[in-house]
Amino acid sequence: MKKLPKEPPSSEITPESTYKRRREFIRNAGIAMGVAAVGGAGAYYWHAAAAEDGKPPPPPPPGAGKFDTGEEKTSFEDITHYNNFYEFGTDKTDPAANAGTLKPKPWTVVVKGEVEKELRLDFDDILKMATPEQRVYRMRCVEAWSMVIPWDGLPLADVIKKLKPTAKAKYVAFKTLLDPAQMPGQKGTALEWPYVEGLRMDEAMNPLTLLATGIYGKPLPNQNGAPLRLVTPWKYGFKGIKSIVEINFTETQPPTSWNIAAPNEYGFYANVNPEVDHPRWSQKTERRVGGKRIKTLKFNGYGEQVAAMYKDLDLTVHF
Amino acid sequence: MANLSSTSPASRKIYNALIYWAVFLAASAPLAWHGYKWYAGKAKVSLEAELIVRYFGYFALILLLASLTCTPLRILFKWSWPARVRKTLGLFGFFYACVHLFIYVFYQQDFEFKNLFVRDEDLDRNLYATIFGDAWKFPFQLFGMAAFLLLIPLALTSTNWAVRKLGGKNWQRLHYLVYPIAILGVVHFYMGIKSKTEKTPAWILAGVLAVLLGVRVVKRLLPKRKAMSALKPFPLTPRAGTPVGPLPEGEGNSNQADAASQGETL
Repeated sequence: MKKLPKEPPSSEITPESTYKRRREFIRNAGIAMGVAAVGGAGAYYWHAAAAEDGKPPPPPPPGAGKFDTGEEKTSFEDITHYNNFYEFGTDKTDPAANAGTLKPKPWTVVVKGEVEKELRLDFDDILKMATPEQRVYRMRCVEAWSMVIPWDGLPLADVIKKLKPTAKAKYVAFKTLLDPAQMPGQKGTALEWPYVEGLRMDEAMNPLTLLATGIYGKPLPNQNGAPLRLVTPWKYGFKGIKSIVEINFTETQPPTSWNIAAPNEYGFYANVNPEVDHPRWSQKTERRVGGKRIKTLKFNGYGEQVAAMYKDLDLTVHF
Repeated sequence: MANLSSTSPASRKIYNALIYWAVFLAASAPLAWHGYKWYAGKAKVSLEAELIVRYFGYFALILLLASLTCTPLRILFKWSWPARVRKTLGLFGFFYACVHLFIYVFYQQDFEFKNLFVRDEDLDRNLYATIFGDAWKFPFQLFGMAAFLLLIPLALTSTNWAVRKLGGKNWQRLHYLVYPIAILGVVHFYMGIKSKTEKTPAWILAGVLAVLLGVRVVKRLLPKRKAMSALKPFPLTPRAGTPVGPLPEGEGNSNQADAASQGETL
C-alpha cells in the first residue's frame, strides 16, 4: 500500500488572515519591486544628468607665471604629510613618518637608450641644464583628491634638449631608486619595484612638464620624491614619478607601474578626465585637500596647453 | 566547556555575562579609540577619513564572519557559548557597517553636517542621488551598498519581540540573508584592494567564508540520524517532528532567537 506523505507540522500552517490576503501580498511585493527599480533608475539618471563642465579655474595673479593657477595654494604641512609614496608605506601619513631613511645626496641619474651619448649625471649637473622656474600647478590624484602645489623645477623640455635624444626616441621612460634599505616599502608587495613611468615624447616636451626639485622655494622633502620628480599637471598624480634615478629614451611605449598593478584601472596616458570614470568610483568630482569638494576639469583645467596632443585619441580606450 | 548542563545556574549566568562583555568591549574598542582621537583633536579627520572608512569596513566584515562561526563551532565542537554572542557580533558588525558608510558619505560632503541635507549648488548635485547613482554604476559600490541594505532588516529584527512577531521559521528564513550578505561583503572587500599583488587578505577571508558556509552545507547533506546524534549533548534539542516554537525563558537560554535556531535542523 502506498504510504501517505507525512503531514507538515501544525506550526507550518499559514495563518488564515495571511492566507486570505495572499493576492494583496503578491501585489504589494510587485509594487515594491517596481518602485525600487524606478527609484534606482531615477537616482542614476538624475545623477548622470547633473554632471556638467566645471567653471574654469581662476587665472594667474598679476606677475605670476603664465601657467600658474590663481587658486589658493595647499599648505606646506598638507603637501608634505598627505602622500602616496608606497616605497615608504601605503597609508597617506606613512611617507612623512618613514621617508627619513632616504638619502637624496649624493644622487646620480643615468641617461640611456636612444641618446647620442649615455650619461651618468650628478644632481647638480642636472640643475645646470636649465633655468629653474616656479610653477603653481593643480595636482589631481586618481583617488579623487587634489592639491595646488607651488613647484620649483626645470622645464623637462629644456633638459631633454641638452640630453640629445636621437630621432628614434618616441618615449621617455623614468625609473625610481631601487633600494629596500632606504625605501623599506620596497620589501613589500604593494607594487612591483622599482616604480617606473613614461611619457610620449610630445608630452615630455610640453611646456607644462616639469622636473621638480623643490616646493615653496625649499628643496623637495623626502616624502615628496626627493631630490627629483616628474610633474605632469594634466595627468593623474601617479604619473609624477618620484626620486628619479634613470631617464631612458625608448622607441616603444614603456611599462608603467600602476598599469602593471591594475591594467583595467590605470592606463598609460592617465589624463585627468571627468568623462571617463574609474572602474570603482566616479571621476566627476574631487576633494581639494584643505578645501571643499569641487568639480573635476578635463585635463585638470590645462586643456588649452595639452588637448591638441590627444585630438585623435579615443580617451575612453586610452585612459 | 561545552557541556553546561553540569554547571550551576549561578556560575553559568556569570560565565555568560563575562563572555558577552568580553565580546562587547573587544568589538567597541576600535570605535572608542578612533572616536577619542577625533574628539580630542588628535586625528585630522579629513586626512584620515579614507583610512577609517577602510578600517571600519574591514572590521565590520570580520565581525560578520565572526558571527557566522558560531554555528560551525557548535556543529564541529559542540560549543554552545559562541551562540550566545552571535547576535552581539552581528549587531556590532552592522554598526561598524553603518559608520563605514556614514563616514564615506560624510567624506563626500566635506564633513559638514549641513551638507547632508542641502543640495550642493556648486557641484550641482544631490548627495544621495550621487551616492545611490554611483552604487548603481560601479559594481564595487553596488556590492557594498547591497550588503548594507540587506543587513538593515536583519538588524531591525534582531530582538526577541521580532522573533515572536515573525515566528521562528520566518525569522530564520529572513536571517538566512546573512549568507549572501557575507559573500557580497567579501567581494566588496576584494574589489576595494587597489593593487592585484595585495589581494591575499581578501582570498583569506574568502577561504574562511567558504569553510563557514561549507560546514553548514555538509551538515545539511549528512543523514538526519548523524545530525541528531551530533546535537545530543544539548539538553533542549527537540526531537525531529516536534513543532518548533518559542522556547520558555530559562537556564541556558540567553534569548529566543538563539533557541529558535538551535531547534532547526540546518
